[in-house]
Amino acid sequence: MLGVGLVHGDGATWSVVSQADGFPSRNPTDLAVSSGPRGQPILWVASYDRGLFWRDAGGWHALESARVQSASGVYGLLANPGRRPDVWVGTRGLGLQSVDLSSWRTIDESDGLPSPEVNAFAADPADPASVWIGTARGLATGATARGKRWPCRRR
Amino acid sequence: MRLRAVWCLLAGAAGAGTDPYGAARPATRSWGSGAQFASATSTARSRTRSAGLDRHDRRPGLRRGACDARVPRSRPRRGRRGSGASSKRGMAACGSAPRAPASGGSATAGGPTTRRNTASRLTRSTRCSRRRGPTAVGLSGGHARRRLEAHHERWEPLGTTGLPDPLVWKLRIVPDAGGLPEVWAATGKGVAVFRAGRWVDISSTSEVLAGRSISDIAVVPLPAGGGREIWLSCWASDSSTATAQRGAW
Repeated sequence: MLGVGLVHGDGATWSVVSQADGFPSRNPTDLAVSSGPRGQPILWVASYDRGLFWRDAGGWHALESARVQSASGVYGLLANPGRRPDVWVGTRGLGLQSVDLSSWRTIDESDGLPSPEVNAFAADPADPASVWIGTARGLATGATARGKRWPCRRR
Repeated sequence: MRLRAVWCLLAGAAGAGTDPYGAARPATRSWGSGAQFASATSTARSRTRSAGLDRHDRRPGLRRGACDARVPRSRPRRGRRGSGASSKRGMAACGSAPRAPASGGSATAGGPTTRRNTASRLTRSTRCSRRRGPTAVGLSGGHARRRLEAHHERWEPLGTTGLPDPLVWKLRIVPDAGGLPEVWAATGKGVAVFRAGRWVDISSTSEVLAGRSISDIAVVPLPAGGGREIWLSCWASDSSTATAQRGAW
């Protein structure tokens, strides 16, 4: 184990989140905060070895996605507060995952991604439905409008 | 003339706000977090900046007597008695960026005397903008800083003093206990907060965080206005391990 896990606190005192608390990974890589159906904050935690987890007032939950769980690493998260999907998940080798609390969708090379390794995101503030993606082989942009297929444009 | 000085005084006082990041900063430098980090204004740095702006303003493209080309020429006169086209231009420029000067301009440091000096300086520079051209305008602060803002060409390294490690993984804006935003830096050996113009290593006093490589920071608001909870993902115990591991991905 390389990591030491997840730490939380109020800025003055800190404590480590242990496996007994419900978070099994000691290698968290990225964090994001989105809002749930009732506006409650949801903390998303990507891990190097155990996939993706989210936490609300009820505790920790593992994302029930075999695709994400089988990813050999999660590079990054981009929360999408107040919109769908809840979060974008960039994986190593499994492309981009569009993840909601109840569903997910994989966007990969068949959708136009130049590489399945997604390292970075940026949302256009003027058009939050439009997302820029940095991959191991260049950039792509895509829109997330409902009913539209992800129309990636390589850059 | 007196009206002009009063206008600059009022507008300058309104423009120089208290820096939410805990340091005095020129109010016009608001084009990004980089500028916010650059709020660590020391006297020496401000002098350097002023000198640089002065040099910057001597570009050959600016004609003598011209103000910044980005200043709208048709700005309202705000009830002032006019005295000619060049005078209007100079006053409009002063009114459009009525900020405290780059060197020493600070809401926290500015008492009545400072304000009076600021107004005097701005008024003088406005006069100079008509008589001596853009170099003098640059010295006034407002124009030059706006031009700096438009070009995005000057960055000020803050150094690593106070940072637990020069390797910075992430930067986040985190509200403090009172709700004011602070810049947090997740580094290879802990986490630091930018307060009062310098980095404060808040991980060194914590057994949990001391020496840990922090890969990310998240803030979760607590319900019913109960403050916030800060989450840190600790990647490895030192930056060299973290670097090697990230590279191996």
